[in-house]
Amino acid sequence: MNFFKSYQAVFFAFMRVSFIQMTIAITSTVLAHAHDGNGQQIMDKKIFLNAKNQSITEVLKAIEKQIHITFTYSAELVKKQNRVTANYDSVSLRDALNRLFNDKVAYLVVDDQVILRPSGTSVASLDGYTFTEPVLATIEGSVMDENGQPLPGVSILEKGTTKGATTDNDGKFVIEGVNENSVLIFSFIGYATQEITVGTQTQIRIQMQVDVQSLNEVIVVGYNTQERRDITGSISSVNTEQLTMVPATNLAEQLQGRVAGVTVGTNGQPGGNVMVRIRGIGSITGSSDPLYVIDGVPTQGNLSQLNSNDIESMQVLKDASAASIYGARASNGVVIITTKKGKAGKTQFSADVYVGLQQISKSMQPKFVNGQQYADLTWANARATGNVDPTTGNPNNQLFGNGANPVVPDYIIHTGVGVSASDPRADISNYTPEEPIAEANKAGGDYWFRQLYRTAPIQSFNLNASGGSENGRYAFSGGYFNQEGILEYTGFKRYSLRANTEFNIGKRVFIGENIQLSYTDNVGTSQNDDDAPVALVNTQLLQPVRDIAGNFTGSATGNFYGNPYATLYRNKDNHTYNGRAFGNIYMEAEILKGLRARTNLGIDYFTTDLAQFTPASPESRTASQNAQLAVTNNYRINWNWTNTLNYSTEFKEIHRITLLAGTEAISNKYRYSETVKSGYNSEALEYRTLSAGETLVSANGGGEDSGLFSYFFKADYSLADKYLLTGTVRRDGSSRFTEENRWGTFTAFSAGWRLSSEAFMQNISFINDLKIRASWGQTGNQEIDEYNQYTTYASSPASTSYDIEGTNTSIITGYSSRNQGNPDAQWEAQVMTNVGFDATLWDSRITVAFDAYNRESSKLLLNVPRPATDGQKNFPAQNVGEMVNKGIDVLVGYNGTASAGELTYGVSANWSTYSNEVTRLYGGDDTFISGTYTRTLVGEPISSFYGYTIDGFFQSQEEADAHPAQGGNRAVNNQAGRWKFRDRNNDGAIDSQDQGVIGSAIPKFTYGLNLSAAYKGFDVSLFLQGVYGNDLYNDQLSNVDFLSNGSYPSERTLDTWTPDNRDAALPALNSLADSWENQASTYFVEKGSYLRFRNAQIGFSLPTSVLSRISASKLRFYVQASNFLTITDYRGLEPEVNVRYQGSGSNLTTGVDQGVYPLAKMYLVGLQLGF
Amino acid sequence: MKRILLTTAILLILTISCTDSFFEKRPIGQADEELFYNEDGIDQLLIGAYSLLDGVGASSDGGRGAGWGASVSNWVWGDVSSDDAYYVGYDDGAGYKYERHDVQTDDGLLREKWIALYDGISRSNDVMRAIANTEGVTEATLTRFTAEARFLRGFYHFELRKIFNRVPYLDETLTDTRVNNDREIWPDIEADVQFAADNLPLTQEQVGRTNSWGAKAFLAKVYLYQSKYTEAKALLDEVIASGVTSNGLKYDLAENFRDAFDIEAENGPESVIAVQGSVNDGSPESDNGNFGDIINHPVFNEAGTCCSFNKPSQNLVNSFKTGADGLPLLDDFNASDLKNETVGTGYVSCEEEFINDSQAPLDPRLDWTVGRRGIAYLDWGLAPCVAEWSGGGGNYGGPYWPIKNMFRKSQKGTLSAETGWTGGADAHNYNIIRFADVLLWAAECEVEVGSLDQAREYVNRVRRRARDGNYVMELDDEGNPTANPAANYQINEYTTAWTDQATARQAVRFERRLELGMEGHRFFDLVRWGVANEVLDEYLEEEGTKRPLLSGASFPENKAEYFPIPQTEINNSYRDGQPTLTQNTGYPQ
Repeated sequence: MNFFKSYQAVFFAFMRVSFIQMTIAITSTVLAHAHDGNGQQIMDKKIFLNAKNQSITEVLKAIEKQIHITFTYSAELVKKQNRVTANYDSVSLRDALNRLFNDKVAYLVVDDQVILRPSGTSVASLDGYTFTEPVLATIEGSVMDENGQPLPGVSILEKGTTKGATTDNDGKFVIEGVNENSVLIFSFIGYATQEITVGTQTQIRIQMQVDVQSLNEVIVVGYNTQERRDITGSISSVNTEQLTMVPATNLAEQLQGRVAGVTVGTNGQPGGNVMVRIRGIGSITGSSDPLYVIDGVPTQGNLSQLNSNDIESMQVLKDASAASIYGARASNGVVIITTKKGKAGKTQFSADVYVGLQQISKSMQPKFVNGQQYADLTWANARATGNVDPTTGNPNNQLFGNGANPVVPDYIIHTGVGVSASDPRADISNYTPEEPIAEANKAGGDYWFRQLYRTAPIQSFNLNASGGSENGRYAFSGGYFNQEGILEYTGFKRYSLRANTEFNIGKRVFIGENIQLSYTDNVGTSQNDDDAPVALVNTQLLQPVRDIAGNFTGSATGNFYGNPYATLYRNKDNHTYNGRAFGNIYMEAEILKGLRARTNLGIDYFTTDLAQFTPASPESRTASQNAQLAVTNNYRINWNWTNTLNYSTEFKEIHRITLLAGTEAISNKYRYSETVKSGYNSEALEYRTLSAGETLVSANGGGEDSGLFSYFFKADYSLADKYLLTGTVRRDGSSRFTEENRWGTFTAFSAGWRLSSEAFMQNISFINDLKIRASWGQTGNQEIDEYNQYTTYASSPASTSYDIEGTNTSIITGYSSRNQGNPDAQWEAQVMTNVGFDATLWDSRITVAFDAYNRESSKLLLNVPRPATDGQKNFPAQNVGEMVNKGIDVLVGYNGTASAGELTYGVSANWSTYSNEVTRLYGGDDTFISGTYTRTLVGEPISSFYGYTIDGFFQSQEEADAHPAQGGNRAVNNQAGRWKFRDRNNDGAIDSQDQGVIGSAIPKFTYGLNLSAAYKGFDVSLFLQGVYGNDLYNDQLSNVDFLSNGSYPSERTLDTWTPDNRDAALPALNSLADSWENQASTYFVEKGSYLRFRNAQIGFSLPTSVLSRISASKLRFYVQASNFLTITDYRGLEPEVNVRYQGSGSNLTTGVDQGVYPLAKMYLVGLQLGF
Repeated sequence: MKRILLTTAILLILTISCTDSFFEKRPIGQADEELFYNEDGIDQLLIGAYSLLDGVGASSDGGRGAGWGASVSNWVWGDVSSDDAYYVGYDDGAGYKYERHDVQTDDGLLREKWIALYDGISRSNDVMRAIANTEGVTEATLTRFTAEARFLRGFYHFELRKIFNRVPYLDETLTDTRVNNDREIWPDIEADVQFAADNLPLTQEQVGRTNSWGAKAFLAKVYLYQSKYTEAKALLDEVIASGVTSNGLKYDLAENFRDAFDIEAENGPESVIAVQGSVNDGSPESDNGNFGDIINHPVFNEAGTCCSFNKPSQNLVNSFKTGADGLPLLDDFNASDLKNETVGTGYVSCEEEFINDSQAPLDPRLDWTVGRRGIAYLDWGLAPCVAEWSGGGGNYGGPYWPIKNMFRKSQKGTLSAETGWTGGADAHNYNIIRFADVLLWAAECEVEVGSLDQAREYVNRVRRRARDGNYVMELDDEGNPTANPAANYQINEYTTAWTDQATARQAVRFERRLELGMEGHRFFDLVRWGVANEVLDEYLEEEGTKRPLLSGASFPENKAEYFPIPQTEINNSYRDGQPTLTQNTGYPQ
């Protein structure tokens, strides 16, 4: 081709082209190498454009820069052009030009030069090159539904423009002014959106297909992805939009009720622990927490550091075939979390904000007596126990006097004596901090609840930005979350930042990273001892929070009990600060077509800083002590390095194969130090440092390390989309086991059969898709002490040191056996079989997923109870127990439309049930493992409640006398009106051998129900969740229903047995019997079923027409109520009591209520904005 | 080419395997067994075994472990369960079962004691095993270590035997400790203590280590518990004549009765075997101070102590009444109560005035044993109204507090804890054996197999010290002691010879109660004398009229002489499908 000649031709044809432009044209033309067919390629190039009110020349310049071309055009073309606003996301140059010039431009490509002129002018070609004129047409068409019936109301939009139309009642439409490159988008609720390029057509007939998009959804299944239609294991995807609707600190808490087969134990304390159990309970004394994998980085919980707004998708791998790719860590299920990534296209910003208020649920509060009732009870009890003055026959009590009737005092003076308001001792002039005076709290009842609980704010702010081009994409977000606790002075704050980027290096390689930084600030309260404010029972009923001088009341200032309000107050400045850096860096390369290699390096760095100051609180329940400061610092750094090869291919059109092979190294390191000092001259905040303390009380430190190295392989095969097979094998080596037992191999197989694709199913019209699945697989559990195999000795000032020199103030350090090793330990092994089906029915309005499973755990790593004759040390886990969980998970969803598509609504429900049975323990069928009020016995569910069975009251003395002696103490325990304890073993005596299984915390079933609807701009949703058929052990009753312990008697203590009240709540008043009757029994076992209205939300989104004026893409307001109604017969403060501790051993306290931080009711308003 | 290189690199990465070091994660801050197979190592394990003498520290995690149930002072088992004291305090109901002799087999305190003692045995056996594996240390040194370890092992077994009766004996050769408790273990205890007596040095460089004389005195105690008076007498004669303390002091009674309990007079001539207490020594909660007794002090802010448990009984207080002749009222001491501020059975009002009866003749040891209203409580001033020092509701248990285990005001903060759960931990030693104990055992032996006159002389020696030493004094208005005794103290020797064995026996036994009250021995003495049923039945009947918490209680004979083996331990003793431990007589099997 004659290059120079063509240049000249162009030059002379466009005399009015500016000089500069011409210069550029010359330069670029001369330097370029021309090819045939280049024009088409250039016009197909994709561009990204984000122009706001710019001149057309500026826009064209931007395009030139982006795809390295040069425009040559006449001034005439751009003269009349208004300023443009354009937002193109991967649009071809051709389309872009047509849009910019409203289809009134013709173009000609010469090498890298694009010559533009107004369409319809006379010059049609230049030196043999022909201008391409825009082709404009009017398209007519019709749209049918899947049955060939006309579909009205379908919206048709030309892509990239606002040009559009809607089908009429006959399904017909007309759209004008489109060209052959125009793309029309057909959309209608419930149907798959279709895109049609106009091309040469003038008549378009479209048949809409029912939306089966969810089947094509790409699911992260661990190390690689799979389309939902191909999955043969049991994997639940969580709707992250629904998930984040529930306001919560912890992501796992938001899972409650969302996934069939997943049970979540929530703690209402902001920042508190959350327990997640997938398909029952997998271990007895080991951990039963699932493995969390976030962007390929494994982690063990602490999800409250994550901002759930950053989550793109969440998958729960429930069966062994799905989970076994994670081998030795997978027996409790795997939760795979993927965070939001940037997408090529213009930058998108979004903001989510909500603020609200939280309150304790009043209706759930236990009821307590008032001051007068308390006094009367004290008198009645004193008479019943014979605790009366022998001369007067009246009780004698420093609070209530010594009369025939108790007198509720107006004031209590420091010795614990009650006095009347007129008594000179109550005069404020007598007050000193050492000899305080307090006004008696005569009201009792909910007085302490009102003091301890408050209306607390909650707020959340999130900002996100994402965007990028084909060559690089990014997303980042910032979040602030602040939940103050409903219990005074408690609260949790989180600051989070997250960023990820991904870059292409050439066409076949890309590299990227995710990083999340978070910082949390938590002020919590103890829940695990008697003095915990949530327990509320170690306070005397008449005791107020403050005495008349405004100081806290407490035992050290007279005969008061502990003061839970003061406990909270004294703890208010003890912040736990956690810092976390979490993320990964990865590179992926396509080596051959279909063969991709990926390397991923992940880091999880977690630090804790706690300066716990214990003031010399004068109101301490025990006598005063020196103030001390305990500073705890620890960090955990885990890294993993994963390398995978993934090969996908298809041949002969019906065989699809995906192969995955990989290695993974995981290393965990944990270090802690704790220093305690005392001798603080001031308790001011700024003195709460270690340096300010005079005396070193203790300094300790230590840590743990572990490592895991693995190989894994997975193959997926699909034949004609009908027959699906998957096989997995993983080999893990762990530092937790000795060389001989280090390696374990875990395999799994699964198969699927898409029945709906078979010919014989084609006539069944209501079935859109039906797949049956079966799987079998092995997984393991290694969550035992890192050093289980080692026998070691250690020293400690408290337990191995001795003042052998008789100095009185110093010790010589000794050693004792600390850990006994078990070199024989291996992985806990689990085999799970699963059968199920997935169905899409009735025009894809209904989806059903059903799974039934059998989960057999063996070689359970059990901390076998040891006789004390072995000495006190940590004994190793041994592989001895066996347990079976069997269950069914069902998920049903329905989506519907009405009012010509303007109203859409959906229902999704999940239901699951399981049974748990321990089938083998360490020493034969008589052996068991004790927990708090529980026993784990062979043949029973894990952690069954264990105690006496009460068969009502002795309704007469004859009945009491005829019964065996209870606790060997007939004089007290075998009396009319006392509880009748069952002689389980029929040996004629009621003693500890008569205890047995009296309940189980494992529910008959659990369920969740989500309802949603949208009409025009409005949307509503309602989420309910419930548990049915479980028992709870209400240990709180032992404190509030028995006078000898109950410094705070419940209203039930007014309803005691008398000959006239034979159907009473409690036995006859007599605190001498308390120590017998307060033992674990059926009295404390209650039905734990509940139905909780977790969330209700009403939202309104502004229509697009309004939004475009403010350049926004989304603006939604909503109001919301959470946990606003709970229906239960449970008498405790909170029916969700299944979590108190995390980690190993937590399974042995399941369902025991010893004080739970209640879930708050919340009322929120929120705003979501996108532009 | 590039592609091939890349593929190769990736395949290499995939096939990387880990070196062994990746899997070698050794425990941090802990030591291997082998480190202890030398002189220093054995001694460190031995210190670990000594450190459990106080009952505190039997823990799997380096913490304090069991609480007061395991206290070496045995206040739950020896005092509360006898006629000396009650178990009350904040938790009024918690301890009723001990003084009422209605202990269930799953009671938590049982197991605290059991665990602490068997951990002590386990640690002693660890020492023995380390000795067996050690080379290059002189035989003499190893023998001394062996003797100390066997003494400790004997002591821990002895405590188990006297409290729980049917207990297994464990030596260092066992690989499985689940052995039957169907065998009398006195011979094993004797063998251990005999070995210690034969091989321990006469004095020790560190006073906390037992010497040969201490072991001999202890062996005498082992004999006494089997009523082997002849064997015991021979040993006691030798100990009294020639014995010296570990730090080389000739055994003798300290000058003042209180000296045996004062922190600053510890490790004196009276200290035969003592548990060394220590505070402000770097342990987080002063766990090495007499932690097992931490809840037995009055509740008052000035001292920072707690919780008014282990309250002396009216019966004990009455036993200190004397006649005008300064001799105890052996038969009718309990006919009337020493004047006290108990009003009926309920709370005492501090508003009501109470003046002690200063005329009743009393043994001066009363006010060194029991705190009571209006009498100086060491240097803390006059003991106040019972409610004032009892904490919430604690005055159910009568108007008295123990005093022997209390530190002085002048010792607060230096010899008592600066940190910890309460300010109640202090550096008190607990006397496992003090010389007065030895003299009174010798008196018992003389009554049974020797001379009544010699028995009387031993008793008189003890009484002379009480008579001639310091008394509790009245305080002046500034709170300083005056020259006047706080009460009408009368104490004299038995000047007339005891006419018969029974009288002598009664006097000797009564003297033990007066001299050793609230020191954790009483219940075991009653049991070994075979009089527990008789004494405690009578006591419960009478005391129950004064303290409702005892009303209706009785002593179940042939059962309550020993405490039940903790049910959990029977449950944990399964071997080949059968429990290896069998419950004591009278308790549900």
